[in-house]
Amino acid sequence: MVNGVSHPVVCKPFDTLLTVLREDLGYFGTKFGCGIGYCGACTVLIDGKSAHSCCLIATTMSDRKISTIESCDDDPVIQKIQDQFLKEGAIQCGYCIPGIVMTVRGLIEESGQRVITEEILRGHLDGNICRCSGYASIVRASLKACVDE
Amino acid sequence: MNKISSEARFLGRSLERSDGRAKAEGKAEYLRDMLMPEMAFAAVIRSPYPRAKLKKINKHDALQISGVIDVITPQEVKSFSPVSIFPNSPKIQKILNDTPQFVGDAVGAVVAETFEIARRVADEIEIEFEELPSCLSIDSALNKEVVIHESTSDNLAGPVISTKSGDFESALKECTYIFEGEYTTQRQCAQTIEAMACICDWSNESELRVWTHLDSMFHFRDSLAEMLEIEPDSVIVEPPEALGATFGLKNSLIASLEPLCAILSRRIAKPVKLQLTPEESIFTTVSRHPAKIRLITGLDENYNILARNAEVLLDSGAYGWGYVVALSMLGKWSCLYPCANQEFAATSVYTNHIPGGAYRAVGTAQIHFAMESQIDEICNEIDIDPLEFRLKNSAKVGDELPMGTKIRSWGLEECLTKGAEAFGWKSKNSRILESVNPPGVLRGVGMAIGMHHAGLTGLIPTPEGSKCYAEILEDGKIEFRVGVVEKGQGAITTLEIIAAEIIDIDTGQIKILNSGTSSVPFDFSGAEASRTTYIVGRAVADAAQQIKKLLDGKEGKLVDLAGSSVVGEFEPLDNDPLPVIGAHFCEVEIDEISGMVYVKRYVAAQDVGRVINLSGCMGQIEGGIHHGLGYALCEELLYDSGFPINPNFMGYKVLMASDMPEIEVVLIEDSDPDGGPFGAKGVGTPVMPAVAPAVANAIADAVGERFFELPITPYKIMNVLINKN
Repeated sequence: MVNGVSHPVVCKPFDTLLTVLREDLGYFGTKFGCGIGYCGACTVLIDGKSAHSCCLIATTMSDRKISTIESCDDDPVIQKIQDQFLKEGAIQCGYCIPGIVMTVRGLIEESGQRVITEEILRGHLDGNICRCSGYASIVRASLKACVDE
Repeated sequence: MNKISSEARFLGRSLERSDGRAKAEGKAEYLRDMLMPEMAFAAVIRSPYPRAKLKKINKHDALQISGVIDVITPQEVKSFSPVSIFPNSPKIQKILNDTPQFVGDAVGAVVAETFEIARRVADEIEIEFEELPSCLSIDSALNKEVVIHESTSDNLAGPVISTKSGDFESALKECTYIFEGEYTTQRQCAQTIEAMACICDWSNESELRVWTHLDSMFHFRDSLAEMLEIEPDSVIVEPPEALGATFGLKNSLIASLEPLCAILSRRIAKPVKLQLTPEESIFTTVSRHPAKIRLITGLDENYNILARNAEVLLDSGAYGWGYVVALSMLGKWSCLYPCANQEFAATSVYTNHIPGGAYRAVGTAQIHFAMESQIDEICNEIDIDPLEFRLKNSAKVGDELPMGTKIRSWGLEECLTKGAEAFGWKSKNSRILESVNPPGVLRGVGMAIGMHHAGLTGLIPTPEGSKCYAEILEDGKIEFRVGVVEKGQGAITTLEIIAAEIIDIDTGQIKILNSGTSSVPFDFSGAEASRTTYIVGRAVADAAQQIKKLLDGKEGKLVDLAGSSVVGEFEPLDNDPLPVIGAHFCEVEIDEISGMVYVKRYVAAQDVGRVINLSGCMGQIEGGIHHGLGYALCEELLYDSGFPINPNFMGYKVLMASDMPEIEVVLIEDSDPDGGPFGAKGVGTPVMPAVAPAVANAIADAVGERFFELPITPYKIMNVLINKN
């Protein structure tokens, strides 16, 4: 199930979730970066937890709830994160941003009522590379979004 | 000095970028996402050897594989001229090469119905090479053990750059203190998150359309036209809707990318996409030129610099242009610490490695590590505060730049004092931190200054200047057409603010259009060399002032003036590019057991002339520090016997969010009235040069020994610590 919709897909046994999302289902908001689980441009939520979709086999995902950046239209938390990113100027080339927004969304989901400190946030962002910002504005924006929640 | 005037409506504030929302929502289309009807996919067949002779490609069998459309080999591209990256640089790089000169050099290409088929066939095609002796160090290149390119029998990558003023040798004899050191810098990669790619559509013979990662659409258009022997007007280069940032990596064409893709598209008369893998994007494009820099500095008994000498050796890889890197080095080295007696000589050689190319702060990153490390060493030895020494000995307003322009604006003193204040650097004694080191931790502080330029006038022979067409549209909005590329740096937002501030209307009324070579005015260098705000900004400002005049105080009447148009222009009169300066301070902690360096605090005081868009300006500075810290601590594309050993995101380490220190940016606005709009300078590149030496100086302070080679890895630190104990 992707963004609340069930998609029957015929794919090769070892196609990655990322490949299926982009090429079979047309969710181009999820980006291909390094392909080996280091840069996080392909981050999506699997049952609310952030994960690198380039390292997951699509055929193992049939019973899982997958959310991509395209789910932002129905998710006010994602919208709040995006608004803060825009306000802080955290978006430059933007290629890593959908993945980072989903990582922060996953962190808010996982943390529940616990306070998200800068240290926790930075640790959580260590699965995402941004080459433009030095992470500073991303951390500022994400912390504001986390406090709001 | 001008301060932000309180009347400014937009200047110095943060404006949300107009492309931000689409990017944040994943709706912006990047090159990777672009598909076209009828499009075919190409993959490059690459050399697995540092140097070899291609004996045979079994093209026939490959063409039989289902889905394969075309296979191309070096024999079939002979009619196209090789690539010359800069004027006067040797034409050596061919589109396809039957004598590949580095691991990853292009020897052929496969076009197929899908990317997967093209890639697999390119990897598995039956191919035979005869491995040739290779040249893998600067020394062996200088000894001419192997002549890499027939046309350059001395292996020199462009002319030797040497200059001399005064009499260094005699002056050195008068010196009380003489310092000598040899510094080595590494091969650093831009490591873009979006892998490089390009789409060419030459299905119609009279028109070649190109979408690619680029700094400059007109530079690319003209180079492609020259190489493919067609008219520039028949090449249309368009930036995609969104571009993954490239940090200078794409200041020039890459022979095995755009030209190759164009040829393939012509052969099959369909659009072709050539998508590099993330690994190819690292080891088959270009990297920062590695350098060996020998510096001698002599001082009199009053600590005045009397004599300076720099000998530089640059590794240009297979097809790089180290002589241009040397010119950039010379521009800063010769004037940051003025001295009557100085000599500079730089030799650049070819080796069988990845070609050297452009990357944030070409040349200045290398020379500053050497120069600012040595200044720190001098200050330690003669026991003088590094701030005081720099204030006394470095360039001042009125000093001459290499081509004779006098420095008009130079916020160094303010950068040093305000930066020191923010950092808490009171005197040389504060180099020893007040609190006691925790057990097992070494702490140190360091600082450095860094000079770069905005614009490309001066030593590097590139035409400089920009134009802007502005028109009042029917709905009363004003459209400005400019030949600049938005690759994430925020060019469009900056130009919007400049126009809106001058005309005094809402930024929503301004539309900046940069939609390709067929619809915007000529601008050769685009978004290279931190020139957008300064050069393109002045052209936009000129157009905005003319529109302001047309309006004559009737801003509400824009609709009545619909259809009116003006042309804004700017060509700098200075012989040198605009100098930009910054002072950086940092504190490190080193774990004695592992040698790991943790940068705890970082203060960057940067003279930007005038802040246009605050968040954009901060983003450029904070991002520049990320690249600089990586250069100092961990980023290096490693080679073993000519083979790249870490060309992927796992092996090539860049800093992550929790590796980054707390950064404080101190913006200094020493505006230059004859510089960019409102006195602005440049910001993206000038941040880079001070970072590595500031970190290196802090590490030297912590360890008590200096490191002469970048990156300063835990391994290198442990070697020193073990020997010390």
